[in-house]
Amino acid sequence: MINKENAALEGKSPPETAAALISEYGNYVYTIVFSRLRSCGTSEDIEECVSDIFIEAARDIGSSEFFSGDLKAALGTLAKRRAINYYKRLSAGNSKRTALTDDMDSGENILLNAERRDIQRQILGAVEALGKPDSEILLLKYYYCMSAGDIAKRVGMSSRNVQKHAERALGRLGELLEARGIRRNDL
Amino acid sequence: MKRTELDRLENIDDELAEKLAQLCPPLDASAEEKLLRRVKKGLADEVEFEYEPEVTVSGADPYQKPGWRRFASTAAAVLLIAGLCVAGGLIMRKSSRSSPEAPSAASASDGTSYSTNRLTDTEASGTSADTSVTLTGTADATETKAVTNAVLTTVKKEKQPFEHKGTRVLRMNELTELAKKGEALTLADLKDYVCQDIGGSIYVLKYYMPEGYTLLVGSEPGTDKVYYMNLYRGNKGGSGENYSPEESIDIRTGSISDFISTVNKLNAFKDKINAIAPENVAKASYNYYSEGENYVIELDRGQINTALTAMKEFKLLYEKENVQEMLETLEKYNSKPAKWIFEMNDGTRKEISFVEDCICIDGEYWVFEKKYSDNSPVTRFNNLTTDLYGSSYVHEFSDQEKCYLLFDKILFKEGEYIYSENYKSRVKIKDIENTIFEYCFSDETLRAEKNGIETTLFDDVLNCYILNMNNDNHADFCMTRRVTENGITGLRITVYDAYNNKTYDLSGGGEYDYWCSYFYTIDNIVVFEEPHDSAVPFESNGTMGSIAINGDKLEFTKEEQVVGAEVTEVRRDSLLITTNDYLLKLAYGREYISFELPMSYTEGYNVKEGTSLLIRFASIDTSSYPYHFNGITSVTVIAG
Repeated sequence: MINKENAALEGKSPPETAAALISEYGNYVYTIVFSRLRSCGTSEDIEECVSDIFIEAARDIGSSEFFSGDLKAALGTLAKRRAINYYKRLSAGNSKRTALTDDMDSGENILLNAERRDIQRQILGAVEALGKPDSEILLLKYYYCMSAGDIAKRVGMSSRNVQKHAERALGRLGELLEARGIRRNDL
Repeated sequence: MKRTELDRLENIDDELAEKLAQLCPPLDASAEEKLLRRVKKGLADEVEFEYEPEVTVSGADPYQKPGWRRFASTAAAVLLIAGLCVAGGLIMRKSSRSSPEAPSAASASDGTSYSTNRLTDTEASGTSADTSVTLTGTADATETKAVTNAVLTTVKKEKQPFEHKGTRVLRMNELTELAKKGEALTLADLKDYVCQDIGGSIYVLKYYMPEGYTLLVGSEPGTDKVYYMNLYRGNKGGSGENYSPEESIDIRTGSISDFISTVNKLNAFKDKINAIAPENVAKASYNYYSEGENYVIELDRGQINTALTAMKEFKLLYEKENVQEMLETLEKYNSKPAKWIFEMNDGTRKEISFVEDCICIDGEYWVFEKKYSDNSPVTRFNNLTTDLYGSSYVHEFSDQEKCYLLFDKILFKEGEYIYSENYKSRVKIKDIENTIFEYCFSDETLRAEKNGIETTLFDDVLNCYILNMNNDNHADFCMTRRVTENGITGLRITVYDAYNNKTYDLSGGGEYDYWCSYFYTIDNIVVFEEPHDSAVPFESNGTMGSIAINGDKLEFTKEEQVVGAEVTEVRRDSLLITTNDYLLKLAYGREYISFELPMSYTEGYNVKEGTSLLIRFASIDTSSYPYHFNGITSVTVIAG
C-alpha cells in the first residue's frame, strides 16, 4: 500500500525527497540517533549517521518495499538500526565503554525496560512541566550538550541568562522528579 | 560534562523520541540546512561513483537510479563558460546571512536547483550581469527512474545593468577615510571607483583592493538603498568560498582598523594550526590532570582529524565539552590546563592547551572574543601578549571609559597553575587613594583592597560595569546582583558610588521569582527590564533602556526597542476572517512565538512571506495570542 506521504514524494528527485523528509522527520530521526550515540559518538558521528539514514531513504523510497507502509515508522526503524551499527563501530576497541543496550528489547529485559521507559516518561513529563523556554534550554544544555553561547543565539537570550535559566531549570527538574517519587539517587 | 537526570533519556523508544523532538527540536534551521547539504552531497557522490563512465546531456539513462547529479555538473560547466560572474551573482542572491544579500558558502551548493519540471530552453547569455540563471536538471524519480532531460535556462530579470562610471581602483586608505562618514556613506561616495556587479536580483558591487581586501556593497537597483557595505579579507565574490560572520564588517558601523588587526591575528593563528597537518602527525595524545593524577590518552587517526578540525573552527573553545567528551568525561575545570601534544613526522612537537577560554599554541596565548548580540562589543581576536605571571595588574580607570568584562584578558601564573582574568577587573578610581577595587567573577564579589586589607563590598554580583553615573567625574560600579528577601530570590541593579561611598538600588520591580512580573538586568551598560513571560525572546522582551542617578534615586529610562522579524503569513480579509495583517516571527526568537502586525504599516511595499521587517516599538503586549507590538513608531522592509 502506498500511503499519502509516499504518494506526495512520488515523482520527486532524491534531493527533493531528502529535503521533504528532513523537513518533516529530521528532528525525529536526529533525536532517535542522538539518544543512542550520545554516550559514545561525537556530533560529527551523529550527523554522519543521520545523513546516512536520509541518503538511504531518499535513494530507496520509491523502489524499496521497506518504505511502502508507514513512512515514519520505517524511518524510525532505519534510524535505530543505523544508530546501533554506528554504536558498535564506535565502541569497537574502546573497552571502557559499556556494552550497547541494543538488546534492551529482548524478552529477558522486559521488566527492566518497562521500568526504564516509565522513568524516561516521567523525566520527559517533568521537563515538559517546566514550560518553555526552560525546558528547551535545559535539554539543549544538559542533554544535547550545546554551549551556552549557541543556546543563547538559538533562544534569543544572552548567554549569561541561558546559564541562569539552565541552572534554575535543573534545580526545578530535581524537585519535580522528587515530587514524582524519583529521587536523584535512583538515577 | 555534568551528569544529570537527563542522561537517563538515552536509548529512548520511538514514542518518547517523538515527544522529545517536539519538546526541543534538536535541529534549528541552519542545522537542518547543513544536514540537507550533506545528504545532497552524499546522494551526488553515490551517483558520481556509480555512473562515472557514461554521461550524456540528453537521452535516457539505462540505470534505475537518477543521473541528475551528472547532468547538473555538465550543465554547471556550461554555466561556468557562460559567465562566472553570473553564477557568482546567483550564489550571492541565495545568501542566508543576516545581511539580506551577503554571500555565503553555505548556500553555494544550492546554486543548482533540481526539478522534475521540464523547462523550455530559452537563451544563455554570459555577458551581462543583469541575468539570473536557473539551472535545472530533470530527474524522474518514479518507477522508471530514467533521466530524460537536462535544461539550462536563462531568465531575464527586470534589473538594469549597473552603470560603471568609476575609473580609479579603491585603496584601503581611501576606504578608511570614506568609512568615517558612517551611516551617511552612500553609493555616490563610491562612484569614482572601479567595481563589478556580481549580484543577482540586486546589485552586489565588488571593489577589490590591491591591499588584499574586498568591499562588497549590496544595493537595491533603481534606488540609493544600500543593504550592506561589507569588508572582507582576500578576493571575495567568487563561488564556493567560506564566509563566516567573523570575517567581515560593515564599514558603516564597524572599525576598519580593528577588523584588519583582528584579521591579521586570526590569520597568524590559523597559520599555526594549519601547520599541524593531520597527514604530518606521527602521533598525538591528549593529556589532562584530574584529582591529583595525570592522564594521557593516545589519539587515533580519526580523533586527530576531529581535534584539529575542531581547533581550526574554534569549536574546542566553545564546544570544548563535546569534543573532550569524545575522549573521556573530564572535570569541567581542571586546575592544570589539558594539553594536546602532536608529534610530527619531522620530529618536531606541537603543544596546544586551553586555559579557560584562551588557546595556547607552543607557549603563545590567544583569545577569541565573540559578539553575542548587537549590544555586545564587536568580535575581536586577540593575541595575549601580556603575560604577567603573578604580578598584580591594576587598570587606571579613566572617567568615561566603560569596562566590558569580556575584554582585555590577561594571564596569571601562580606556581604551575595558569588562569586568565579580565585585567580591567582590578581598577583604581581617581582620588580614592591606596584602594584597588576588584570584581571577582568566580566568587561573584566586588571587593576593595586598601593597604593590604581586603574587604568584600558586595556579594552575589553577577556582572559589574564601570562608568561615571552621577557626573561627578568619578567612576561608579553598576552591578546586577542576586538579592534574597523574605525567601524570594530576585535580581536587582545596584550602583555603587565608591568616591562618595553611596549605594543606589533600582526601585520598582527588581524582584524575580516564578510568580513575579519582571526584573532588571544590565548587560554592557544597557539595562533590560525583563517581564517574567520568558516565552518571549530576551532581546525583544520587555524594555531596553538606561539608568541614571537623579537626586538620591536611581531611575530607569525606557527607550525605544528595535527588533528584526520575518513575515510568516500574510492574512487578508476573507469571508471567515476579518483581518488584514501579518503574522511574524522574530529574527532571533523561537519559531513558536507569533506576532501580529497590521498591514497599514507597510503600505506601498509588496510584503509577502519571508519578507524581513525592522520594527521600532515601545513594548510588547503578551495578553493575547498572537502577541502585539505597542507603540510602533516605524516598520521598515529590509529584505524580501
